[in-house]
Amino acid sequence: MHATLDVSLHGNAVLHDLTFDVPAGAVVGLMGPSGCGKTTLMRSIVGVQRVASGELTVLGQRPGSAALQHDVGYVTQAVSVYRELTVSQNATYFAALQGHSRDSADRAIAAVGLADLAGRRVDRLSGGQASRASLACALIGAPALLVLDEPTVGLDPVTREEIWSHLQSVAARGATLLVSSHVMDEAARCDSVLLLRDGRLLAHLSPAQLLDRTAASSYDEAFLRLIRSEETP
Amino acid sequence: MSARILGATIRRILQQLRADPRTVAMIIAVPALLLTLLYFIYGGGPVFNRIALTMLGILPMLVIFLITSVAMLRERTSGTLERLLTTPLHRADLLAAYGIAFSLAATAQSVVLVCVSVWALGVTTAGPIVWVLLVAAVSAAVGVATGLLASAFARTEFQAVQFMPLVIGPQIYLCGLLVPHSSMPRSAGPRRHTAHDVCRPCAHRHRRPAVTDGGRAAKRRNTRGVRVGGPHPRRCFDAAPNPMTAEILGDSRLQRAWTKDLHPVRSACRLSWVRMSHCRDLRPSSRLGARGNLST
Repeated sequence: MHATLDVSLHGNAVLHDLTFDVPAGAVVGLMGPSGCGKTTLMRSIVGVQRVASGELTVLGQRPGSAALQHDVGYVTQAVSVYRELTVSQNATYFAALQGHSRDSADRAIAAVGLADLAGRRVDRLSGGQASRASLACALIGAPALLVLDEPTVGLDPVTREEIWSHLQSVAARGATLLVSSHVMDEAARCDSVLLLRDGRLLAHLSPAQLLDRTAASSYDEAFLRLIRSEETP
Repeated sequence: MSARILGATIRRILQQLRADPRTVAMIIAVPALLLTLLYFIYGGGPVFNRIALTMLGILPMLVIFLITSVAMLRERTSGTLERLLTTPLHRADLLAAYGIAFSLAATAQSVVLVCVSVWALGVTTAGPIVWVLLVAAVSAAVGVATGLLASAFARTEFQAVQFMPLVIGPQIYLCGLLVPHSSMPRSAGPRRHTAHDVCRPCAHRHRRPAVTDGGRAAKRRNTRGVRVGGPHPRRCFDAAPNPMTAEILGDSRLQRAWTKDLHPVRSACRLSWVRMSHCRDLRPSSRLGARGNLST
């Protein structure tokens, strides 16, 4: 994935001069405080956000092109499944849209560990289970790129650990993952981290480089030091 | 558009509807209950008959408008729409699926409503009842279309509900329930307006002889109105009321108007009557006294 882009929303520039490359098969964290443009960048990548200028290629294609629609899985920040349907009905519907069978829907449900709850309505699941149901719908058909907007926000450590282990098994299969978070500690689970602030890219580093460069002991501290060094050049 | 995606989406929407039995019960039962209430208010009779037929067009449109606009809005606010747009689903697939799924629900509703009104409430029509069913289903489809339109302008469910008076209100006022179309002033009645426009050349043609040779021209006009004055059948349909307006069903001349407006020849006669009664209005004096009303 290669990007050089500017994006405006309602006349306000949200992303400025973002330039980065993400190699295929990497797990990339998109980190930064709330409102820094993480969601807008993800929307641009999946092709539901108009890019004002610049160049963005995803898996060698223009975002939102018909060829990409089979290869990209997207999970929005909210639990974007139909709450009044069961996990299985949701997965079967998203499988049908992609032209996949019911079996692939069942496999995706099993992959996120919801096989026992497949017949339960999403609005009767806990928050973490609903998040996993939403993730299952994105895993159908083994997409080459998975874009996840804060999949672990507001979840307990156990559920977070479970979701990350699912994501790592997807990455092991060879898929590229772009995962946003504002919990800096999750940077440790990524191959590289894109640090965003006010719509600008502060750095694109591996977690080890981030700690080395800032000489910080935690990722939170590393991020704060990075911001301060930008402000006082 | 793809048949597989369309079919899957229709199924999903119907599954969502079925998962909410209270909504299903409201869709099916509320219009019939409202009509039953009207029956007791009017104690049956011809007035109820007229209003009931109009309601068969209005109620499905109203209910379906509400559920369509809120359902589509929920799709947008829950983030599922954004997600759907990253899949091979096309916008047209989604709109068509909503249209078809809710039209199916509306047809079920119309069947119940028509059955209750005909068998339990004794509503009678001059024409076959299947036309009433068709008009009810078509007006519900209008509810789907306007509901989808309203959902595009509403940002919250609160706003979507408030679009109902804006969109449905004028249709109730203009459908002929409160004031028959024939009595509406030129500016308000869409059909009357059409009738005026069709009528204008004939008004000019007849005004001069009416002044110069009086009664003979009036007699001539009277016969011409029947024989050659009828407009081309296509024009009849242009000038005929929109089925949704329920004028077809609920005019004060209910017993005749029904089949008259659906039948091209009778429609032609009806339009001639509108033409001639209007020509009569334009005459400098009413002493000629031609009775152009063919329906008497």
